[in-house]
Amino acid sequence: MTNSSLKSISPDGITGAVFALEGIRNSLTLLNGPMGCKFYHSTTSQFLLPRPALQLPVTEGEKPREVSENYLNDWFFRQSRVPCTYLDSHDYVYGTADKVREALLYIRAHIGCDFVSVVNAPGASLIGDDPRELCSEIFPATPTAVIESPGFSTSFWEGTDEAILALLKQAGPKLWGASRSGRKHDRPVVNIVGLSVWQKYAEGNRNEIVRLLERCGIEVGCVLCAGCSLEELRRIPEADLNLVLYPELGRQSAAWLHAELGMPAYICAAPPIGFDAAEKLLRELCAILGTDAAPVLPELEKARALCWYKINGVYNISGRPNGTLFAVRSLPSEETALSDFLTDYMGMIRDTGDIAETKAEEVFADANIIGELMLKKREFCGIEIANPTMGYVDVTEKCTLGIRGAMFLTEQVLNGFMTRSV
Amino acid sequence: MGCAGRGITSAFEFLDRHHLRDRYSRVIYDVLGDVVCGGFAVPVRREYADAVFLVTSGEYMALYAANNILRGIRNFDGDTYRRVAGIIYNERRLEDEDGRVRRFAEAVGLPVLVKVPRSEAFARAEEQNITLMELEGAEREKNVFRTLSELIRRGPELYAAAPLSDEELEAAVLGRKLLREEPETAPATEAAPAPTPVPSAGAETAALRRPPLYGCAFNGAAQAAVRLTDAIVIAHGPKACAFYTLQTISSPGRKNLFNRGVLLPSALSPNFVSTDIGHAEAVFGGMELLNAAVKEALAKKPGAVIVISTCVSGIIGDDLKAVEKLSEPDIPVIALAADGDMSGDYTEGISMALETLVRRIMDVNAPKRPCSVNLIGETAIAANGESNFRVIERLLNEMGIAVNCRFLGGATTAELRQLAAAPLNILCSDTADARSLRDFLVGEYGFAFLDKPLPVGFEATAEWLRTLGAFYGRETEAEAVIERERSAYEEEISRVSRRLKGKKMIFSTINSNIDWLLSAVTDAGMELPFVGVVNYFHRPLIVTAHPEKYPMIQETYDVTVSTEAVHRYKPDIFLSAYASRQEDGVLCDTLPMIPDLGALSAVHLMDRWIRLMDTNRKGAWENDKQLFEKYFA
Repeated sequence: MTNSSLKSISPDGITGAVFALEGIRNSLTLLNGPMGCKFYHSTTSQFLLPRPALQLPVTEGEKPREVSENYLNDWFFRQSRVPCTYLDSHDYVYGTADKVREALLYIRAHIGCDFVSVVNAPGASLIGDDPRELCSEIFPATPTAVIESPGFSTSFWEGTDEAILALLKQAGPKLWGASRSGRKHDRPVVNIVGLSVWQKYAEGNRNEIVRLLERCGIEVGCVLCAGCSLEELRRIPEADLNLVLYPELGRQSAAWLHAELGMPAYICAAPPIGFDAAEKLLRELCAILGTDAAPVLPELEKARALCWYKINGVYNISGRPNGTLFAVRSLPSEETALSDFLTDYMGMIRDTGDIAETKAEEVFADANIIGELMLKKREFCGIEIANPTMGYVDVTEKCTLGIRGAMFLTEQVLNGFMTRSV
Repeated sequence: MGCAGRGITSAFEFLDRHHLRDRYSRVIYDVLGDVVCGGFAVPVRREYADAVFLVTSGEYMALYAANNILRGIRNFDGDTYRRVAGIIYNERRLEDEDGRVRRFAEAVGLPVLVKVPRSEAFARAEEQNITLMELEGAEREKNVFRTLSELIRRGPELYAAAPLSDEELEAAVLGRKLLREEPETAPATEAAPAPTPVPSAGAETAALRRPPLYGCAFNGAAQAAVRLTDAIVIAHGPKACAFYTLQTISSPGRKNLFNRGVLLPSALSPNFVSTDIGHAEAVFGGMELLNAAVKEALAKKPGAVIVISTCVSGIIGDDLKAVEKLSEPDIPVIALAADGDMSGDYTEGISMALETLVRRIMDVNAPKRPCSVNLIGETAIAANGESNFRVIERLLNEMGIAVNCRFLGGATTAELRQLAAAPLNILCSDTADARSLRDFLVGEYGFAFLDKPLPVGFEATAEWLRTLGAFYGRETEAEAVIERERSAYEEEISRVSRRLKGKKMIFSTINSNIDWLLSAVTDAGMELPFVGVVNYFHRPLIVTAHPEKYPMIQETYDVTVSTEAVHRYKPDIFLSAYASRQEDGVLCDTLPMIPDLGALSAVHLMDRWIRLMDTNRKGAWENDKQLFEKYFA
């Protein structure tokens, strides 16, 4: 039994699967489930990626209409993303195929998109409905993926990894057919695997890693399921290597790409959080791909220098950050990477006990955990590193990975101290 | 308990995971064949079975099942794809059994590949725990299997599935005549059956013949139950269900904390747990998990333990009611069989929870608290729920009236137990769901209700206070409070009208009872040429108590004010349920779904309009949509 929010009723595999597939631009994910499973995914997805709203066709002279303007006559229920089949008790007895068929026909007729996927909700999965053939029949040319079972109470990252794998297996033949080779480029190219648009700062993290790699002479082909286009998916086999940032989100996909397409992978033990981790990743990748990390090293040194100055200012008046207790809750690999950074670089100490009882001065977690600790009148600073958030709308791009990520986290840590009396 | 269909699906996934089919040249799946759900149909999917053999005796029900399998195969394969190898006839020694099987085989166009005779040899092999082929003797029986294995080795000829209708099956097997062969018995005027509709792109509403359910009963029940603050609520299902619900519960908690610095315990830290039904429970049943969760909850000595089922626990047939036996003398265990959305939608889930909690917890003989009221039907999703309560609490306190129980806006089990103590009950809003709860309390317990819900706007507040004063014999106190509210309202309206007088406003709304807005807008001297009302939930609506005063109210189907209406009326302000972009010089804003309570409800909105007018009300950002499409399309 999971306890309430502090032990965290965390997202299930189905949420990982939906947001993996929603991470493809100009795509559409149909949830084969009841409306109760739809709301969270629909309301969340529309804010994850900046992208134009899906449009309904209009006759000449009519005002353009977004799918969310339609109420009951389609499958969107006034929400712009993740339509669903509105399953009810009848469907659990007689099967869901009729509704899936009609929803897919509607989508085919009315909404232009590059990629279509269907995710079975647990109930549909339980009765064994598998819309794969239906999906292929209705979309013979469009690449599709069907997640027949996103699992029961599996983790978010398992759902993500499984969905990306399913996408590669099912859509791969339509995406790249038999021509799986053809790595003909001057600069080395890598795909990035193991990011999810659902993660806080996903876009900033993606852009930071792409920026750093490009400065090292490495081109990024496809950032798989984290804002990629269909065209980028098609070019997956052209890359020289697959870089897995969060291992739990992309390990299986990288292994499959290795087995099927012969693509080597660089799997980070933990994401590149902190200066040392970022430098290690860049140096090792450059060594593998025959490029040079030198162009980025001055930037890294300058960032460290600036951080030293700022940290030293705080240290001189308060002795912090050294010895400060912190607690962290996030994806396992992120917990590891962030803890290493805060421990090794900042000189802080991790409270590894139950986060519900933590006495840490800084807590890195989602807003549910931070809110609950505030309710307990704990004296601490909550630093949001995961969803859900308190509601702060980020406009300027922020990240936790790479050089800029290390600077941002340093800033968060120092401001966490500064809000307290010293 | 558990789901056998899921069990079969899981078994095949297991075999796939272990690459069974890569290791053997022939794999034979011996599975239950009657296709009753998708799980049972897994073995006949094309990716598993290259050839399907039907094993059947001559019993009618066995042949019926064999025919059903052919139906399943045809659903997968269509009319022409060939995948059925034939019939393995497993003899039972019934009268005319050979004839039955033969006629069935001929009718479906399949060969009878072998006949397995009824023989003691099978029982002997079973007793010795060996296969038939290892048994001494029994050559006749062994030869049947040698023939069969040779057939499989060579690769059998395959046929398309051609199942019979029930009528044809009876005719073939039992020798009954087909009805259509007896025209004299058929009604002469009976119309031909309608052809099965073929879904097309234009037939997208066909599957919506049952109206979509608005959310699910599980979610509604959980949202209501967690507001019993000292109860522990257990979601019996996969953690996905609890996760979605937790996000809805905690969202106002996070917003209040972030925007206003207010800590809402029931939202930020609900006593809400999940049994996290996993794969094993989906197959074998989740009662063990649930019992453990209930016992763990009971050990914490809560006011009550409330268990709510999801689609998954409903489908696998877990007996939720059984956990009520674990109740302790002071701690009731209450089962809410919401079964996800199988028992209804979100509001039906709320009703189920609230009515069950009353039945199980309330003490009908609780001693009366003379000058107190219950607030009935507080909504869980309002971000302004707490500030609204404070407004009402202040008005009641000024009248010398206490709140006995907020049902269910954060009450304890002890407070709910005392629900019957208050002499008067007040609906928090005049919605269909709240009225349904009122009808339940009146019908089952004879509760007295004030005929006015919690008030929105000055006029409603004055009437409400007056009625309340009359009920408790506190007319003087009521008039004093009304005068104070009137003075505050008039002062505020006078202030805002300095900016709003003469401004033209149109709006469309999904709200009912909007007199609070209509009268305030009129009092402020604004013009109101058009009001559109959308009946969002297709239920009877009362928009205003004074329709004669507001002839501009019209029904509309557009939740945003249409461009045509803006062109026609040229308003300064237009409001709708959803903000939309209009032309320069028009202030666009939204109307809240749940307005602030009390005399100053509309004034709060008017202050916002003034602020928007005082600033650059059409930001230059609104011109940048093309840039967005340029860079992010």
